[in-house]
Amino acid sequence: MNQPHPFPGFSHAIVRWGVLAALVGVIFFAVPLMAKVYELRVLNNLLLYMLLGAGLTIVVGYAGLLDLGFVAFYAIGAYSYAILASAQFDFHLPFLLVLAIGTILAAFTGLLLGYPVMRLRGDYLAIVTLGFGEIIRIIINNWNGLTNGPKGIARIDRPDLLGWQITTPRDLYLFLLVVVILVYTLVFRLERSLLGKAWRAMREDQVALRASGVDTTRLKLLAFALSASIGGAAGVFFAASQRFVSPESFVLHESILIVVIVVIGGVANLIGTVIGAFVVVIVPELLRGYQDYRMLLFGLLLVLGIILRPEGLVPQRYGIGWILKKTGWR
Amino acid sequence: MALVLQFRNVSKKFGALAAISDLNVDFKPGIITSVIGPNGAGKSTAINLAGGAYPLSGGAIFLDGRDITGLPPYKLAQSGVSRTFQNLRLFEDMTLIEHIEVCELTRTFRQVPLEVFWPPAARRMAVEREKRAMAVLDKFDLAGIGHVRARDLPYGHRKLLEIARAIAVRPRVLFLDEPAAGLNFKETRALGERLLALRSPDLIIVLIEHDMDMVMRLSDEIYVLHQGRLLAHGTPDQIKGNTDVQTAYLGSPNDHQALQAAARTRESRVRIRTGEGVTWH
Repeated sequence: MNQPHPFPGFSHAIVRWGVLAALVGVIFFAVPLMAKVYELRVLNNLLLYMLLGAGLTIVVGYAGLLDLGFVAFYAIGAYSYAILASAQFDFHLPFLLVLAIGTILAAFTGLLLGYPVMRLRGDYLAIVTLGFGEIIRIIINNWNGLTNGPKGIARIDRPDLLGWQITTPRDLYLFLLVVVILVYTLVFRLERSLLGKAWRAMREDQVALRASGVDTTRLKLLAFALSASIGGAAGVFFAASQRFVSPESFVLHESILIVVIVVIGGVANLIGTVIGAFVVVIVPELLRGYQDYRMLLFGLLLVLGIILRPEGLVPQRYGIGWILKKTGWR
Repeated sequence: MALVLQFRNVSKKFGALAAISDLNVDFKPGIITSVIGPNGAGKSTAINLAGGAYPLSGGAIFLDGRDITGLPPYKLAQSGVSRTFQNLRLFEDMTLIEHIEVCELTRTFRQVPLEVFWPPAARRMAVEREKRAMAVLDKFDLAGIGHVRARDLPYGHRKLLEIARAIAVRPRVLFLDEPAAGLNFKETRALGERLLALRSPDLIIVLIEHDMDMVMRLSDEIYVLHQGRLLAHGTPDQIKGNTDVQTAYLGSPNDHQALQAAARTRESRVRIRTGEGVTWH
């Protein structure tokens, strides 16, 4: 609290609020005004993956359960919106309602997946969740009557937010930005809550936690459900922004990409998740000039990253809490 | 019915091995009851059965007259059966305070949404929770290092932290599985004082320990197990004078002499371990 001041002449508060204002100014005003459509699309993609990363961080990072089928919840959210707000069945439910439906449906599916796999750990859990992801994709691919099969669902309604029609990539950017900030705040608060501490304890030693009177099954189911609900919400945003969904968007590769986001930046660390999303979304864009070698280079970078920084790019203790502390917010 | 933990005809088989057969014991509150016996006598198995680590092969366990057989470990802990582990099981990356705090989760589960969504309430809850955790740690003189991570603690403190965590669930039965193992003489003494101080009219304390000095000094009642069966039961003095117990631990006088004779024939001098290195006075 009483450390020597890094910027003599200013009070802490002025510097802090100034930096925050500058940050808000850049991401809310400068970026959307200056970025071109292509750049905004990349940024929107980044924001979506940041959301997915936050969702998976709960189950993989906090609870320590490797879930390789996360994309299934993304798909459930996306198809909820695609089916309930398009010409497919001529349902045109409002965006916010479908957002609620998609989120709850995904959370419910998360419980459904979580329940039978409670006894599994590590590799076995990874394999079963992987299978689950594929099952959902195959169902979507084959249930022509509902999902229109491999052709996908097109002409999805534009999202309408209490009168604000989200049409341009710029609108979507601002909207997703707000959502990401909101979700990250909540997930961070979850991490700091007693529940977050119990997840950490469960990661360290389940047996000891059970002997302390905590029902670890409930903790795991909660992790699955909360993480799935964020995945589902991200899916609704995805469908609303693309206005077209098909099973191709929800292949295993996507699940693995999201796990990479969570792992490469540093497990159980939201700052790490943000950086992971940057690496996974922005780096391949920067490598676009190399065409065919793009994914090869990207893969090499990931392998190098894992070898050089096995605990992720950002060590766990340098999280949001650390930043808040260092900058004097707490 | 008065508070009491009862094992009734409890048995546990691992395959063909009968770890515990037909065990009947009563643990009473307000005193320290020790369970002793040579290695493999079934002491830890008894704790693990009471803690719900694995199912009984037969019999039942009652707490306060209520059948608690077969409850999952977290439910047992919630109904008041708490334990420490022979091999320390701490949450290495967490602070001492956090070790105590997580024991509250079940009691305060409904407050989690409030804590996540409403920062002022969260701040208040965190402060109060920390205060409560500090009070528990303070009983073991650990409050001063409440913010240290478990992995950075010296061994003696790690042992204490485990007991503090077991106390944090507000137990009615506290099983201590070799709390003095690995401690030096001074630490063992200090631990003994703490355990004596823990005694209270509504707490059953069960001590499983190899350090006979400690057992004899602290216990009000002792159960001796041998090969999964109850061999003897009584006060420390009664147990000390019991010839069955001496035989179980030390072998018969003849065995002892035969061993010594065998050792003398060796080139090097071999110190014969008798029982668990116990000396009987």
